[in-house]
Amino acid sequence: MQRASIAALALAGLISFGGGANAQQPLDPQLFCGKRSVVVFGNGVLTTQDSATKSLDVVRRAIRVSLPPEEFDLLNFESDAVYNPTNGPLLDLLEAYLQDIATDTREYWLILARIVPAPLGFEDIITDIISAAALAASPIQENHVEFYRSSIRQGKKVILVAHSQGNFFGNLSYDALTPDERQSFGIVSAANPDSFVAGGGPHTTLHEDFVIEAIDAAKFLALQPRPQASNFTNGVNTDPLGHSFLDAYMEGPGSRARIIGHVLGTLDGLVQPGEEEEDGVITVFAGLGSAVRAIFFEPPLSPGGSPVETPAGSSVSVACEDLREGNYAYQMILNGIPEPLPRVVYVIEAGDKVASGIYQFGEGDIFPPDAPDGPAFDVEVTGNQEDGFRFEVLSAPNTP
Amino acid sequence: MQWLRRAALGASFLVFLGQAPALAQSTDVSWAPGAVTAEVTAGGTGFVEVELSAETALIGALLEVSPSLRSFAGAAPANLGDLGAGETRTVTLGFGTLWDDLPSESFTVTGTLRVLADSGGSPVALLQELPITLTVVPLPPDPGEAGKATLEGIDSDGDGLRDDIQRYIAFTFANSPSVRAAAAAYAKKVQETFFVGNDRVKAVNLAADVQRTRHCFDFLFGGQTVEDLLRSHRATGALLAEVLNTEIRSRSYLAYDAQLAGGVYPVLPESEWKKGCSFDPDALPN
Repeated sequence: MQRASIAALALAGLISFGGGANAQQPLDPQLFCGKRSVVVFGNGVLTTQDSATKSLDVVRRAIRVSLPPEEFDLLNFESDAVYNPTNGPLLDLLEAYLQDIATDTREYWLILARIVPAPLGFEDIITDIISAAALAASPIQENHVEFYRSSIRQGKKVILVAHSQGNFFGNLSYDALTPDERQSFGIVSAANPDSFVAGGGPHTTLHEDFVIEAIDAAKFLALQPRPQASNFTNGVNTDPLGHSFLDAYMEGPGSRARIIGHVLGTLDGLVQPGEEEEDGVITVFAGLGSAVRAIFFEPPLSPGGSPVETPAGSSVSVACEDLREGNYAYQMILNGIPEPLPRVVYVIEAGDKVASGIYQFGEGDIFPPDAPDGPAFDVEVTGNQEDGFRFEVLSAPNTP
Repeated sequence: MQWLRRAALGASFLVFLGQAPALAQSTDVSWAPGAVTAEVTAGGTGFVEVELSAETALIGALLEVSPSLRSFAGAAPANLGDLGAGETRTVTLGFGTLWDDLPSESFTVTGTLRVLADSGGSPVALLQELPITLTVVPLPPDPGEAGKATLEGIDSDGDGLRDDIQRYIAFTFANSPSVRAAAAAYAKKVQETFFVGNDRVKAVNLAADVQRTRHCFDFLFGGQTVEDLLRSHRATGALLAEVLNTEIRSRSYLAYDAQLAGGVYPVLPESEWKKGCSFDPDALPN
């Protein structure tokens, strides 16, 4: 348990303030208790970052239009695109285009976006490039794994919608997670060139997906595990290759409904991280003994009101759903004048912040007896239920 | 030309308004500046902020652009609500042109912005109108092959957008100044990707800007259905292809894109897409 390890640190007399954002990482790991789930899109090759975020926009909208507004609001999910490396194949295709077709590269981009059909023979080049990528080993994306972990630590379920090569990256990420983390991480696969979906997630591969068909043949010849079998058809697609996430899998109403159904079903089946634990997002543990008692202060229930004050025991926790902006304080008070003056070991966890240590009561805590002016641990909470909350431990009195 | 017909209609309408009985006292509102003179390139957009001060309390105040200017100008917020005596509000005037207003020569159109306020249950026009003079100048010429000779291309009017892209946007999104403004903002951000170099932090930040401007476009053009959004994405896909129309531009863009690999990029919910507009879409004619 995390608590046990932190308590061990406390007993060793250490104080730590955890957390810290990676400046390169758009995810804010200091936000807690906001969104309850994350829908992530993991792209395949021949996809720019701009196009990957477009794919996720479409997934988001498809979810929205498939649900009554109140149910969509209840989902309250965030969405992020994990951008898998694909630049080598994009450059390879550009080279082939410049060599075979034209120097005006406008059409290259129109072909990539499936706005114009590829000229005769060029579709074969596209298929060959994607197949070659599918045969090569995909490097694990450490940033993505860390993102999944951070999200789960923040109490969010994570659904990865993986398209094409994105399935390899998704499966690798799944392997890198702990068994507990995997319970909150699901993959919904589209156009899967891999032989499985990690965690047993659902997959949709179109019968008319000629790229997966080509990958199947290439893997067969290379004695590699073959892709999962195709299992759905839209009949006709805007994309002649039947492989594009937007123009085949999302354009086709049948496969779109199927994939969105998989997303919602998988979301429903995952474990909400932290739900199985009793711990809240703010927890205080202090070894009070009989010589010390405590009062817990919570922010006013309405603006201008008084803080909510309740007697507290050795442990206090505040759940996400009860959290509100303001200051939380755990104040220790001596019962009379005990001999000798007690030492209290304490651990405070507030989101990503941890403070732990030992407080030795002194003469200054004695007078006036029983007055609530003993040492207080203050936690400042800013934010809201919609966007999430940040935490700062303002005061954690400690005796060196 | 239709714009001349509109101007003529507008002028006669103004005369009619001059004879209208429902006019408030003369010291009701004041404007700073007291008049607006603006210029907009055909296919482009422009914005001017003005301050409106209420001399007396106003109830249910609305802004109205005179008919002569309605094809070219809008004001936001259109609904000012109630204003106390002495209260000041900032109003954004937006300018743009429609397809049939794309001129071969510059022309000028005049009109006013006025305030309507509730007086005993019926709106009355307040006397102190804001005079507006707008000059519409033609599109820059097609740069042709010369426009493809360098990475940055030719931007003869110095608006930050290549002339060929300015023309593409003007003709492709002819009937909506707000969509054109969004398309131009997106295209400018894509142009910036050429000059990122090997600066990954810069590339990541720029990717957020590119997405933000695209979301503004999707907000205006992307409708409500999945098919609408796919149509909007194809429109920006086609615009991207225009911006990346040479080998060096394509290679520069791919070099920028390569730096984004391995990253995680938050995608904003649709409720936030309007915030991606660096201009006020409500201030434009449509």
